[in-house]
Amino acid sequence: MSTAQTQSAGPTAPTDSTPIVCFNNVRKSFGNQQVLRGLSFELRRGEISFIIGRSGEGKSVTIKHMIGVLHPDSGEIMVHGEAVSHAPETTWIKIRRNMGLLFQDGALFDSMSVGENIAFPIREFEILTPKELSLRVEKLLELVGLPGYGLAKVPELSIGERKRVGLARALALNPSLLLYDEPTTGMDPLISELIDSLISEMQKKIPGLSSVVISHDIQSVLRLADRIFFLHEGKMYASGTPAEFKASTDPVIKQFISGSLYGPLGQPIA
Amino acid sequence: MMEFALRGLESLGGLVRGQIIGLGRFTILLREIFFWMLRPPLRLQLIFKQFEFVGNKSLSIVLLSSLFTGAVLGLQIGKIFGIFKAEGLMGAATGKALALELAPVMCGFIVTGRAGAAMAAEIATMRVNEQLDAMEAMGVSPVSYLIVPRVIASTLMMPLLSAIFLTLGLVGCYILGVIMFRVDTSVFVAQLQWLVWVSDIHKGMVKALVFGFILSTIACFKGFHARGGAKGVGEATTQAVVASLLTILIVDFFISLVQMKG
Repeated sequence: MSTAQTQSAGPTAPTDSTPIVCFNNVRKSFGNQQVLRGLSFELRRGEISFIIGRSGEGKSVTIKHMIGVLHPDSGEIMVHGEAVSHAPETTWIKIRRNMGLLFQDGALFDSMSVGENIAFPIREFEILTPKELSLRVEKLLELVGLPGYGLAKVPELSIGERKRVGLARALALNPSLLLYDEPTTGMDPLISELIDSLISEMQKKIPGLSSVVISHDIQSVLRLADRIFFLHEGKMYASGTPAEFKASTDPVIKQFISGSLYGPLGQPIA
Repeated sequence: MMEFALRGLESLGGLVRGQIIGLGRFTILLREIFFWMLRPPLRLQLIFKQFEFVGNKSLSIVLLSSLFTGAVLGLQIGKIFGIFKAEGLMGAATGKALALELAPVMCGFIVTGRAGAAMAAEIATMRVNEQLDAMEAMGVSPVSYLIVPRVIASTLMMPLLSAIFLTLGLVGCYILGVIMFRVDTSVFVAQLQWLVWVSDIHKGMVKALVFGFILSTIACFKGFHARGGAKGVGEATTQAVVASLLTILIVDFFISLVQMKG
């Protein structure tokens, strides 16, 4: 496992071919608040990568940089080997077509039905007959365990259902990079298990698919991750496999993994 | 004393800086609006939906307010003109005021209050709930999908609403003139034709077109840059309405100046 102490400058050395996403010394501030303070890492193709860290450490900000919704103040971001830090919006629009993102609360369009939400990206980029479209939407709904929900209204859905519809929408265009922003937060254990198995299933079904998951659910992280990235104080503190993280003697990592209130991370503010 | 003055200067500087940043963001949004207006896809279905929202749903308010605006304007003008025994001119004077100023400005106010506020609130809610981020993440420009149809529909519907306002306003004035001031219909129509020219109606339509563009771009801009939760949505909506109304009044003055010289 590499940690910031042993590898403070530059990204971790890639062992695969071109990394799907690469951050190099990325900095981002909002007003006086520095969120990313020289973040560097590489995500390998075909892996499930988990980004973990305490709340407010900039995990969602990191994912928003990956999709170009936010742009860094300095540093370099590469997606599919292409430098995109300050790429024009038209370039980002093309890049995003190969990405699927599941937002924290689903971010569903509440003026549309569930089916229309899932059909939205398909309508934008593909030409299908109404019957083909409806079949595709139903197939995606079945995939996330919500068959027959096409006509349901978004405000009537529970948080868990919203996330599942969000996942179906993220999968609509068969993306090569799937990003999950805290997919199991606020869900009961059964739904969390279902989402975990969906993440794993997607990885097996789609060859070459890379998944990036932001999560606080340590059990999910240790069970599903090919590689874990630990974000701390706006930097990549450590990265490695679940086995390496479990075996780590670093007090910061040990405290985070165990969920202990006492240690170098300090106690969470109640 | 010196410290107090410095603090004052600092807050003034902050205010000016904020305004300049806001103006810069607005200019960037305007550039994006024109960029996506001239690019496919032309979202006809969404544009027609906005025609219905801006036009059809504002119609009942426009009909009612135009009748009463025309009537009250006729009442005041008729009262003054009555002193000179010139009540016959009340239709012409009301028509001139309605065609040049009142119809486009009042329609601008009505559409701002009804449709503009709703546009700002809807887009602001989508912003704070990450729906705009989701749209961008799917490779769909929110400017192309949400803002351009609203701007096109508002800009094109405003002259139509203004024409309806003018017509109904004149009907209101006519009814009042005939009932209260015993004005003869032929005199009313003759004076109207003599004083209100086609060019006056054209000038009013141009103003309505400009106001439609202004109110929709400001409403969408305020919604697009909303921050925070429900409070942010409320602030964006209020700011959209206030900024649109003030801009309409200021721009109206300058367009009138240009039209008078032209």
